[in-house]
Amino acid sequence: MKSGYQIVGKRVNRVDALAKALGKAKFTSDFKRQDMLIGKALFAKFPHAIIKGVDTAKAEQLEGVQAVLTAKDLPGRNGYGILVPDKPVIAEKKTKYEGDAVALVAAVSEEIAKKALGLIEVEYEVLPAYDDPRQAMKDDAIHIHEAHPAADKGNILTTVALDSGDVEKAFREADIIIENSYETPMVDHAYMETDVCMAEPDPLTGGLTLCSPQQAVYATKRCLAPVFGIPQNKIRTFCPIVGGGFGGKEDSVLDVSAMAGVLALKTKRPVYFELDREEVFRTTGKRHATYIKHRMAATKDGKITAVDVETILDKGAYTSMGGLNNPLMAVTQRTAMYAGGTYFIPNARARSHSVFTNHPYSCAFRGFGAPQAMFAVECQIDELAKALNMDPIELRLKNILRHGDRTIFGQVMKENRGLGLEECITKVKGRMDWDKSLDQGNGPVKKGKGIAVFMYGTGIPLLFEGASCYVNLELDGSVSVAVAATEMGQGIVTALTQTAAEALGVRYEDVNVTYSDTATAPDCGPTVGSRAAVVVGNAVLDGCNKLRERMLSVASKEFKKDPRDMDIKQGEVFIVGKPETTMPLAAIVSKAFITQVPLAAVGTWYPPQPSFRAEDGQGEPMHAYTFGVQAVEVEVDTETGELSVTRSVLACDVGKAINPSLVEGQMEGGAAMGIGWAILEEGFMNKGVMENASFHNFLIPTIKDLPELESIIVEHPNDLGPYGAKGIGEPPLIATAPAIRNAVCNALGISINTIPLTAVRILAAVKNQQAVGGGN
Amino acid sequence: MQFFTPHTLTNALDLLDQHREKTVIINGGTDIVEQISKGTVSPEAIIYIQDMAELKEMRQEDGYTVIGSAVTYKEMEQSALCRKYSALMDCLSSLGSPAIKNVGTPAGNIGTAAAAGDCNVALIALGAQVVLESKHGKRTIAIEDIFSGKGKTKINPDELIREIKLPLAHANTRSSFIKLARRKAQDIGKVLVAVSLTLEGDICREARIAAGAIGPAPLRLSSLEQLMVGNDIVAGLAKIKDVFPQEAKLRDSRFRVYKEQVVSVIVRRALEKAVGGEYYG
Repeated sequence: MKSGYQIVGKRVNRVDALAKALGKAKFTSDFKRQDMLIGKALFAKFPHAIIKGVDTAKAEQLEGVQAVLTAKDLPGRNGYGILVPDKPVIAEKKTKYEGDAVALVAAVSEEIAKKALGLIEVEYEVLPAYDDPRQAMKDDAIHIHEAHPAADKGNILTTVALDSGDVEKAFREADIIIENSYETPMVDHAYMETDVCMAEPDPLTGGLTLCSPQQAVYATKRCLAPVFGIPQNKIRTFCPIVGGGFGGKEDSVLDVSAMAGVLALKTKRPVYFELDREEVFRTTGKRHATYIKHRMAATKDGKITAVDVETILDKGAYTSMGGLNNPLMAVTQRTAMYAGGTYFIPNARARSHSVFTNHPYSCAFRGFGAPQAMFAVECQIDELAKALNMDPIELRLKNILRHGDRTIFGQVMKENRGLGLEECITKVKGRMDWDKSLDQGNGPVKKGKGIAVFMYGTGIPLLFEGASCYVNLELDGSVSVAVAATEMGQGIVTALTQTAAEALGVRYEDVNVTYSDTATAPDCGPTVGSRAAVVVGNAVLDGCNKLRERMLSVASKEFKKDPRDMDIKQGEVFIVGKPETTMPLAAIVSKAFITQVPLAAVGTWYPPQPSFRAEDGQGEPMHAYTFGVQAVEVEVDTETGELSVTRSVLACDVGKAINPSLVEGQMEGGAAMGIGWAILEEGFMNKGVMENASFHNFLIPTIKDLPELESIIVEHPNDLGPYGAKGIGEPPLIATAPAIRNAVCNALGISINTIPLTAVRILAAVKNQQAVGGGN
Repeated sequence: MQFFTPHTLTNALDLLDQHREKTVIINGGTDIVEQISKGTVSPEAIIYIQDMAELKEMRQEDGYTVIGSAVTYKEMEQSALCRKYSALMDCLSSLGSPAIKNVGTPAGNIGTAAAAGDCNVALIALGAQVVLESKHGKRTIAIEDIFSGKGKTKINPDELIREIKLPLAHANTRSSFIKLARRKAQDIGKVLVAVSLTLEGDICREARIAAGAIGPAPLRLSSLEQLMVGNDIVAGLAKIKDVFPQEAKLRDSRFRVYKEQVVSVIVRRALEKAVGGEYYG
């Protein structure tokens, strides 16, 4: 692998930094127009009810109302979804959660649209609503979907199985068994930009243009084409920069685009449809809540011999990315796959059940099931350490996956794909002064330290995985790259600009990357799964390499040298070893232009074909894994239950940091989001109704709730990644919650196995401990 | 809907007299504007009072610090007159966000009877008086008596809060404020306590203890004050420790049990904070 990069690995400024800092960068809602109509939805009054009748007559008569739609007025299929088309555009017979639209309105103003909603009369027959998947999966539960196209049985959408080795024997022979139950909450992504769509019919083609913040422009048009009854090639989906997605805008875009689109087709006018924040809380996707029973067997010297894990996922009302039968098991599959954490465990059994409830549909959310699974297993490791009276780091080092080890899902770990977990652990241990005990003082505040480790595969196995892009050399020597990936704050446009500039040997300033538009770029897969910098990056690299070879070939004729003796740097072509013999790349491009050498290339990349067996969950799903370690220090007030995270050190093995500042941005953002999930965030659901559907009550951390977030970048290169890179979007959040939980246990000597660790929950545990007369 | 921006008090009081119940007074607007935009309040007229210079004054007069009703939290925080009251400064430091403090006012929070209004609690402990004025005259009422229930006050529809009067702190008076919230900033308190103690040596001669978010409106906790008055601080603290105030009226909520557990802790800590660290523990 070549070293001494010009641009890769450098902390260049983000391409969008100045415009964003000045407030000049435009988001979807900045493109409002004079001639647009305003679309609004009447959402379900009851989360679970039979719709007996909808009367829209009064709303239709209101001056300024251009259309009122119910389920019978739709142009195509009344159902969509990334994996299964089970979510209706407008609910017809039943409501299954608060976010089901019962009717849609388009009007000349927002005021009139809202007034019209108030004039629509709906008759409901209310059904009992399910908040807990453990209730909903019982045999006598009402079927939330009367006839689901894909569900296994009743409200159970799917059950994923993973089996390896001989679990029964391992538990029989174990010196010690650790068995506990864990719960993690349903939470909102809390992206800054609310969901919005501008839909406009195209009178020339009969097609439709949809502008909406999202993570997957191609998936959106594929999912919605049947809803509109329009072929995929006549739908254009695109978006400008996006104000945060975190997995949620893979799905929520479908909701707003479907509603805006059908209203636009009906009225033949542009329709602007925006959810307000309360609607985002009530109607869009959430992180799957989980209920996990985790058993772990070990020898007395601390070798883990088996895990046996049952996970129940709160699916909410619709499938979304929640999983489905083989092979698209998605989030459900990840909870089984990661049930053994980052450890070499020869015997494993995992069962993950995805169960419908009357909650908002659970979807992709940073980590895609791994944070829930890792929470349980990383708490278990600390419980094992406690039981064996071993240091938690020492115990982890005894068990982590090393070169040649097989994961519980059957993948053999390879150092050449980057295996830097041990280095991460060593570095964090040193930075934290791990072996030094904390000064406890005499007051009611107790201090503790905690650690947790994680792994996370780059990409989206079992779905389409691969990417294409266009690269085009301009006659002035500048470079245009077109990708369909989304820029949602993570910095993909900057990372791809660096990748392209490095590959072609041009200056960073000479590359322009356009993004997230099906009209300008081929499909590169969704911007999810921590995949874009790696998978799309490799496609860009491929396109650039093709053009580079062509230009070197042209140049070799000019210089009368073998192309292998030529190089391009800083936009100058030269003979290796003779930097004085330069010619501007622009001159070579112009030469190519008039000598029938194509200046455009399609770059593509596919990882090795993933393998997976549904019967036992064994395979090699991802080509590379990112590893990391989170350690924290906490203070717990034993009189009020208040928890403060006072220190956070996160190390991640990212293969190669294309831009270390962007990597640190992801790491700090992930740790902050992880702290929110661990200590503050939870949807208060009461019979399907969200009681805290605002930022007033659904609390996310402020800067004062966060310590300085320390990041350590570790680089064990992935030989298949662009310049060695692995994914870093989701991983940084995965180990935060268990690290905090382990630190709280360390401080209090009490095991709390449900997050978020709110003051209410901590004080209840302290009081409970006092009541039984234990604790320290 | 009519929107008025009077520049004189006379003009404002005339408008109030005309429109009465159909009016909403907007001061900082941090509570009421949200309600208007949600449609839960739909007034016929809005009277905006931030443009009246007479209500923007802060001064010291006849044994009181006088704070005009249009004075914002930010202006109080920066005022030397307010700096003398520890409870007030503690309260302002954890109140809302800079953006809220730039427009929010203590008079506005009195007007909306915010049950978890940080400053309402501090003002009760500091013995604040509220001066109300209408076209027909002026009256003064103790702040703890102004609240008559959830979101309700005894302010008449034609009355405007003219100013808030804080008695000048006695040299031996110590005050403090503690906010227990779910988050470290920009959050509504789950338990708010403010205390003001006047000491003679180690003996507590006067005590005012107030709490927020444990009843439909901010409360004065007289039952706890009685345990302190006439006692030496250490003895008073010993008596008050673990006593749940009888004035509290906790509603059924996810936080009820938690509040029952922590109110006495926060009261004790506020008292300890007021008298200084040496009594702690």
